[in-house]
Formats: sequence, C-alpha cells, structure tokens
Amino acid sequence: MSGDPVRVSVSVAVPPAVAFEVFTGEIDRWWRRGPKFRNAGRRAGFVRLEPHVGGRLFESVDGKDGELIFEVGRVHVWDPPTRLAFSWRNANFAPDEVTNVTVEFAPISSGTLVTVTHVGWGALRADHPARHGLQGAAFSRMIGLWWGEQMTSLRELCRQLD
Amino acid sequence: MAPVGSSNLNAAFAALSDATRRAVIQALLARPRRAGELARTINMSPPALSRHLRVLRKARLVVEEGIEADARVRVYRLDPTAFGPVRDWLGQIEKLWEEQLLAFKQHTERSRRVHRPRP
Repeated sequence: MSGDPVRVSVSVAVPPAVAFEVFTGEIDRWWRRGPKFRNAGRRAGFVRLEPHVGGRLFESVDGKDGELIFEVGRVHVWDPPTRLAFSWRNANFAPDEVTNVTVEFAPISSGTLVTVTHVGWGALRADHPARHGLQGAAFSRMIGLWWGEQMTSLRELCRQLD
Repeated sequence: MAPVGSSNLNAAFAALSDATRRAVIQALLARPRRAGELARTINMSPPALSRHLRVLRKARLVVEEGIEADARVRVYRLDPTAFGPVRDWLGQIEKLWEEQLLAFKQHTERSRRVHRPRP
C-alpha cells in the first residue's frame, strides 16, 4: 500500500555523494541510541547497512549468549548518490508484514536535501502492536482491514479540516 | 493523543464495528450529504439509517447540521477531531524519522567539512 506515506526531509551542508556515503556507511554513528530506536536498548551493538542491492539493514546486539541479529530489511535500490530504498520490518511484525523506505538525496544550493519516505503502515493490521497509540480491546481485528484502507483518506481529511 | 481505552475512542471503534455505519463514513469521506441522499447511497430506508446516524453522532464521528436556506434539511459530515488518533499514530512515525534525520545532519556536519556555496 503506497497511499499512506510518512515523509520527512532535512537539509545537510554537504554534497549528495557525501550525504549518501554518511547515511549508509556511517549509519551506526548517527542512528540514535536507546530503546526507542534500537533493539539493543542500553546493551552494546551496532547498526549496519550492507552497501548493495540485496544487502541487509540489520542491528547486531551483544546478548548474554553471543551476538543477536535483528534484520530490519533488505536493500532493493542502491543508486548512489541519488537514491536508496530498503524494506523495513519492526521486530513485532508478522512474517508477511512489511513496510518500505525510500531515501532521496537531491542537490540544493546549501548542499543536499535528504528525504525519507516510509510507506506501507496502512496495510498493517489495525490491532498491530506497532500501533501503540491505537491499542485497546475495542479495536478489534474485525474493523482492522477496513481501518487500514481508510486511514489515508481520513488523515488527508483531518489535514484539510484542521 | 487520546489515552488508550478512553471512552471516546471506545465509542468510536464500537460505532465502526458495524458494516452499515462504515458505509456511512465512507460515503461522508467524499463530502457532506443530506440524510435522504445518504439513505439512497447505501440503499437503506431513512428510518433504519437514522438509528445508525444516531450511534455515529453519539460516538462523535459524525456531526449533524442544518443549512440556512431550509431549516428542515439536515446535513451530515464527518467530525475530523474524532479521527485524530489515527493521524497522531502516523505522526509518531514521522517524529521518529525527524529525530533520526536531525541526528544524521548533526553527525554529517560535525564530521565533514561543510559545503559552502560561493556567494
């Protein structure tokens, strides 16, 4: 489902090639730490993005019995210095549930505009644990699929009417 | 965001558990409609529909309004505030990426000579 994009941009004062290189090659250096952003929580570990189509985006965590790997997704577009895309699964997703992230690097006068577009959230079932804010007994699976389909239009409507 | 399990949210989801009422919401997503037009659109008798509209109004998903030209005509439209939690949920994901991109920007600009365009 592509109709429910989350889109966020930031400008960085470096050329696209450098922005792409830092975004991918130094992902562990900038990816935020703590339980909100990493499975590791406060344990040691690292995030890595393998630099080719089919490469993994994963987190390695130092567990009690050795290394734990949390695979977030796989690279499906590797097009430096302009575009990168990968699948995205949170740890609590069912096997068939997947969302997709595209990162674009556009040259601007002050450097590069980096835009992340994350789509597919509306296709997740409505009682999904990823939807913390909407959990509740009344939020049954029965209305879930419908809710997912309607979410985009509802969101647009809210924006228009706000 | 409304707290989980808040009575408003529960009423909203209970109201949406019925196929007819979902059809009403769907019809109102396009635009506000009169009761008679709604009844025709979803193929239901006006008295039967009015029971569903009452549930939707009580759940505050739908509001009823008169129009100036004719006080007898009632127009129904969606109440966008009822759908706030949906928007807030996607907003949280947006917020996470905003925080990540800010961290990316700070790291990049600290560790690299920043690009200065010529005046």
